[in-house]
Parts: sequence; structure tokens; C-alpha cells
Amino acid sequence: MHRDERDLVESCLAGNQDACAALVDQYARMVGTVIWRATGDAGVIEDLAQETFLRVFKALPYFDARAKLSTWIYTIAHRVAIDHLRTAGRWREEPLDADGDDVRSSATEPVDSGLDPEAALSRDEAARLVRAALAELPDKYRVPLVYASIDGIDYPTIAAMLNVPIGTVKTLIFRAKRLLRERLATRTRPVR
Amino acid sequence: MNDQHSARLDDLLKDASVWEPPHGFAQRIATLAIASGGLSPVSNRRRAVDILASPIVWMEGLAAGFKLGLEGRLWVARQYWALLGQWRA
Repeated sequence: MHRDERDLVESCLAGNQDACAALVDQYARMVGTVIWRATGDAGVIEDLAQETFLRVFKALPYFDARAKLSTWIYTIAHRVAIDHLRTAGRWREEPLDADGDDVRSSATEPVDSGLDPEAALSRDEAARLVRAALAELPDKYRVPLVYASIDGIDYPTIAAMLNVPIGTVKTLIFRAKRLLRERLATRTRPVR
Repeated sequence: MNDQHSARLDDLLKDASVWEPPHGFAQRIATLAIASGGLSPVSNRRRAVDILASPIVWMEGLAAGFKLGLEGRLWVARQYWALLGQWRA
């Protein structure tokens, strides 16, 4: 942890309200974005971001200074988002391992997603199709893939957030893209 | 061609939109956090007492610091309990 961060955390722990506000200000955008991507629901972001920071401040006295503060906060945001999905009955419990899953295609066989750069689909249409297909992916693939699409979140951070090795994150994202291509291919297949 | 498909998919997956907190969000959360009593010098003192009272924290700290194995950890644990016994007596 950088000295500035350590000073900020210590000021928060001492009950300095301005320091607490500065910490929220520093991480609120990313926390809200993580929640947004995980839930896909803009209407719940503010409440869940608030819940995240209240959990952060509650746990701050026990934060391990050797860890990265941003990763620790994003992990809490991820858990808050998943708790919300679970409560709403929108979270499918599946172990986050890279083995035994429902991806049946061969890993090396190329799949035409139907998103040919030369194709007639406009970017907006293609983006809408991708979003719809993404929403239907199993959560174990969808969540790492949407986190990876956020600027500023790298694979080690996603691994820490999901509490899995980096290799598992890479495999899950690889399979997520493959599943996505397969689903897009069925959506964009021309009707004869 | 497959590389082009992958690149297009990656491009479509990239989402630069970022959530913008409403005005006053940070101050509101800070006020709530302080009001909930989780952050204050008192709670820090309580935390210090918790840490001092936790043999696991002490043992793991010492074990990590001196790279102790299981035997070393057991020795530290015995010393700790002996010290705690003397202190309580």
C-alpha cells in the first residue's frame, strides 16, 4: 500500500470524516461500475455502492496493509453485488473452477460469431446483440468477462475478487468468449 | 478472419461507460460511516485489545517473522499460554 493510501486509511480509522469522504470519492466510480456490470441493473447501483462502502468502513480496522486497497474494495463491491443477485434469485450457484462445465465445443475449433467486420450489422446492432447474449451466459462466465471489459481492472484483480487463481480467470474468460460467439452465431444466422 | 471476429467481439465487449456517483454521495457515506460508530479512536483501541488478546495473531506474526515451522509454532504457543497464565494469576 502506498504511503498516501496508508495515511488515508489511518485518518479514516481515526474517525476523520473528510478522509472517509476522500476514500469514497477515490473509489466510488469503480465500485459503482463493478456493481453495474455484475448486476446489469443501473437502478440498484447507488444503494449497493453505499452498502459496499459501509462494509468497507466496518472492515477497515482489519484491513491487511500488505494488500492492495483498491482490490480489497472491489472485492467487497463484487460480494455485495453477488449477494444482491442471490437475494433477487438471479444468481446461479456454480463452483468457479475451470473444470467440468457446459462448454461442449472443442476449445480449438473456430466459431464464426456472425460479427464479421465486413457484415452489414451496424455497431449499435452488434453491441445490442452482444449485450443480450452476454446476459444469457452462465454467471460463472459472464462475471469475469464483464469485469475484464472494465478499464483499470486486470486479471490479477479479477482473480482476487473471485478468489480463484489467475489461470482460472483466463480459462473462464476464454470459455465465456467462446460461448458468446456460439450464441451470437445462432442469433445472427440468416433465415432461409 | 477468425482474428478479425475476435477483435470485433473484444471491441464490442469493451465498455467505457463508468458509473458517476450523485452529488454529495461521498459526504453522505462518510457521515453514515462515522455515525454508525465503526470508525473512531475508541474502536481502534478495542481493535488493539482484540489483537493483543488473540494468540493466533501473535503466533502467526511470530511464525511468519522468524519463518517458524510447526514445532516452532507450538513452542511459541506454549510460551504464549504460559505468559498469559502468569499475567492472569
